[in-house]
Amino acid sequence: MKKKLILALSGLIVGVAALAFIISATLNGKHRVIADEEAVFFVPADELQYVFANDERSAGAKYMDQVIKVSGKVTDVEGHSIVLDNRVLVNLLNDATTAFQEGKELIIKGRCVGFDELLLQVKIDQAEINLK
Amino acid sequence: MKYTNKITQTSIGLLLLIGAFQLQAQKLVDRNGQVAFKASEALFEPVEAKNQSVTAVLDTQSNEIASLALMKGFRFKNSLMEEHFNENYIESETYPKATFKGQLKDFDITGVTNQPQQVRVDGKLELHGKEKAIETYLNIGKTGDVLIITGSFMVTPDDFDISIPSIVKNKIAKEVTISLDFNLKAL
Repeated sequence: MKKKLILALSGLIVGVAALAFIISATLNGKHRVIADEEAVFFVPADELQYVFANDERSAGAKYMDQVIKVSGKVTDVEGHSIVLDNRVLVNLLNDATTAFQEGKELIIKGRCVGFDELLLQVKIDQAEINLK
Repeated sequence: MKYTNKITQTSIGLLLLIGAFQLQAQKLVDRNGQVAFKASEALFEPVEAKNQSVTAVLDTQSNEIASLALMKGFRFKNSLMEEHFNENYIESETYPKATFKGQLKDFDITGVTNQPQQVRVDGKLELHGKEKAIETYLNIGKTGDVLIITGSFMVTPDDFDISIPSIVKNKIAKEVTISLDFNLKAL
């Protein structure tokens, strides 16, 4: 009788633990790791900005939240941000090096966040750098 | 003599021109400002997110201030919450950004010191296709040549026609606190 009770109790504990694990796994789903994803598009910085400035809605439908590769010349560096061809603002992953000089040609890979009409720049985050 | 006159005239003209350009170039910008919001209810999982790439522009001549946050730039601790925020509540594919346009009242950039002062701002916040008038106070100070603006204000999901399904209604606060932290510089 006692054995049965212990068995039932331990079964219940295992069940509850499994349920808790499943719930926490669904609730705390993992974030995308942009660095591990393949780029879906590869565009020059000026072209990317042009399509957004021209028709934000259709450009957004195509590029927003996608992992893309962008090429261009570094025109500005500030902290973990670089600007490509004055048109694309790239926020690098925190561990990315920012020892880049203005004028250098780069290709970056990151997530397209959207178009900033105050700066007239496309913003990209979680980016890493492939030197050209 | 004539020549020197002409040279003086041209240089005065040039100086005036340069002066005019300097007056025009009085925009201070932060391209990676912070905006966070909190809609947490006690006992439930915190509902909060932060955007660290918000743009803010202040025209120190007209005291007009503008800010823009891309909705996809808001990061949550919980990725599922982030997904719901984008897809069900904010609908970021249709409404990809939030903008604020306003005016600092009785503000003079030359009077700003290291000691933050309260400055009133009146403006409009637009998000999810709806607009709401915002009147609040900002703390404005400076460190070196960086103008530091911080502040917070409250809005409600109702203000912007964002409906919260009844199943999660008690997990999301009725009032959402939005806080901001900008470091503006001349570009």
